[in-house]
Amino acid sequence: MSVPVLALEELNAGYGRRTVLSGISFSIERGQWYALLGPNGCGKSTLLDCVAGRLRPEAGRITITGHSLLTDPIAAKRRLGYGCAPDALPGLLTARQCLEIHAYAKGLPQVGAELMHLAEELRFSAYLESFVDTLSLGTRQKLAILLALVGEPDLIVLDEAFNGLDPASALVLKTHLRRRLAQTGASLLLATHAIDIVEYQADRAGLLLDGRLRREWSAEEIQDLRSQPRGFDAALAETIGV
Amino acid sequence: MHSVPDRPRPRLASTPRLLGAYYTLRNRWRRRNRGDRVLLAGAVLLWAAPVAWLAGCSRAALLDSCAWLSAHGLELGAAGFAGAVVLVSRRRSVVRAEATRSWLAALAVTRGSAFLEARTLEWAPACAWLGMLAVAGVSLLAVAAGRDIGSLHGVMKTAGTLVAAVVVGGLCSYLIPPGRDEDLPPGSRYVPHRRRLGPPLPKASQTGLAEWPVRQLFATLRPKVVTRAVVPVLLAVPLGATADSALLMLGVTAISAALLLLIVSVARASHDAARWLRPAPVRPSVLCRALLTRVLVALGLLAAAWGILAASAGMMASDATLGSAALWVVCAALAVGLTWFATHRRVGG
Repeated sequence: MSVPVLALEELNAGYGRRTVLSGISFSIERGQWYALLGPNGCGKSTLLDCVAGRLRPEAGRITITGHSLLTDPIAAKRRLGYGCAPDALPGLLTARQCLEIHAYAKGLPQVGAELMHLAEELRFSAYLESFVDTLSLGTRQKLAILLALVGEPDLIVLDEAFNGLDPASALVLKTHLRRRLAQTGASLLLATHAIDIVEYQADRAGLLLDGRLRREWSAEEIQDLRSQPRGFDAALAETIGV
Repeated sequence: MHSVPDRPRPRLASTPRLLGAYYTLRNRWRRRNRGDRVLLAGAVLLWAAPVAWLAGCSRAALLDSCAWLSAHGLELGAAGFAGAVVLVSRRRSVVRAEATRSWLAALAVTRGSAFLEARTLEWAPACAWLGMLAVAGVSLLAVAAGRDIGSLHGVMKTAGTLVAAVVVGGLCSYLIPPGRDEDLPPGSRYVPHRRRLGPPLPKASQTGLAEWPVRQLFATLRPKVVTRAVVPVLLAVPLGATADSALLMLGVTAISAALLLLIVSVARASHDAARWLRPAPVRPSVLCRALLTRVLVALGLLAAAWGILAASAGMMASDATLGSAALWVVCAALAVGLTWFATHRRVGG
């Protein structure tokens, strides 16, 4: 049996005395696109912060391709590509410098040609020499995504990555991610509010409510829902109780 | 239309831009332009007035002037250095921007000639400065020769410092990175546009991290902030103070503020960088080192400037050196400590 790309076991996390996540357990296999759904404030970003090593969990285990994020963080993070929020990017650096630093951090000689091709497709290349704080929200979002993809990571973690992207760029990105997952066997954990991504792109999905993983849809279930008209809307409504 | 000789000067024949500049200057002179004559007369007057004053003044006043020059060699050298850096780097960017638009741009020039042309044009203002310094030095020597004012060793030392500072400043200006190709004008109708094959791949580098704290410092130094900081300092200068002491006070305040701001900037940049790079597989010690490389150099330069100011304020040279070294050590220790704390205080592995 192959090692899952991401495995969470009984994860509890929060800020100070406030517990945001409790008892989260799931795993993502190679090549899977996992969509994490949930209302605002349910803990999606907190979960992603834990997976990215930005927040230390109160309890539980996180492993990335078998490497524990808590005991062997450098090895785990070598397999991780995290797309931070656009406003968390350093405003005083140029986009090129951000890419150079990420390549340096991952021990690469340079950013791959394929990634620069994606930058060209996303019409981002013209902004490479611009300072981050002069970029628009959508352009920053593109940079955050490109940074997450530096160095062929095994696990790509994106937080609402399609927010602020124009439809053409969103289409380019979806196509690229689909192809990358199929070709390299990488996995994607995407927190999103967009149901269409679950309907048309995701292999698996999970619904987070009040800090708990209330419902998971397997690849077969999603395939089944896709064959029904408004199948996913109905399944979601049933779970939430609307 | 003015005549142009049939045979161009053989030494300039291989450098069309220099030859063009030579002909332009010569034709302007031949045209007997009134403005040029006035400019020349002004320059001669600027030279003649102080020389006449020196020649006519008393021996004591001449000795005072020589003593002032001897005592302020370091400051004059620093000013000459800064001036040369600005002049040569500015000239370089102008020459580079004009090169593609020049009517001579399409001419075939050997690599060596192009190098010689570019360096000559870039160094022209600095060479003009050196020429003026030489004229001033020779004039002073000529005036002093007729008066019994003893050894001119101190003045000669100052002149040497100034010349060396201008030369070193000009050379150091090449450390300032040139403008990017994107900033240059798109070329001329004589020269086909270079076809770009897409941007070069970003190479792994920590330069951005090294530049971050210094950029943070300049981001804080907005014109309004600087003005608000300078006004109270100027108001604090007591009435009747000399310009020297007011400048000294301003200089000390500026250096102290820059040191303080740089330390604050490195702390803030370290915090932000550690936060941003938390999901990346980079060790805190590596991050710390990358952030500090340029900061330590910048702190060293500021401490050296403090030492120069202290020496010019009358402090012994050895004490000023020791003081600036101690200042650097304290500031560096503070910067290292804050950066280490910010980068090692990372959560979640």
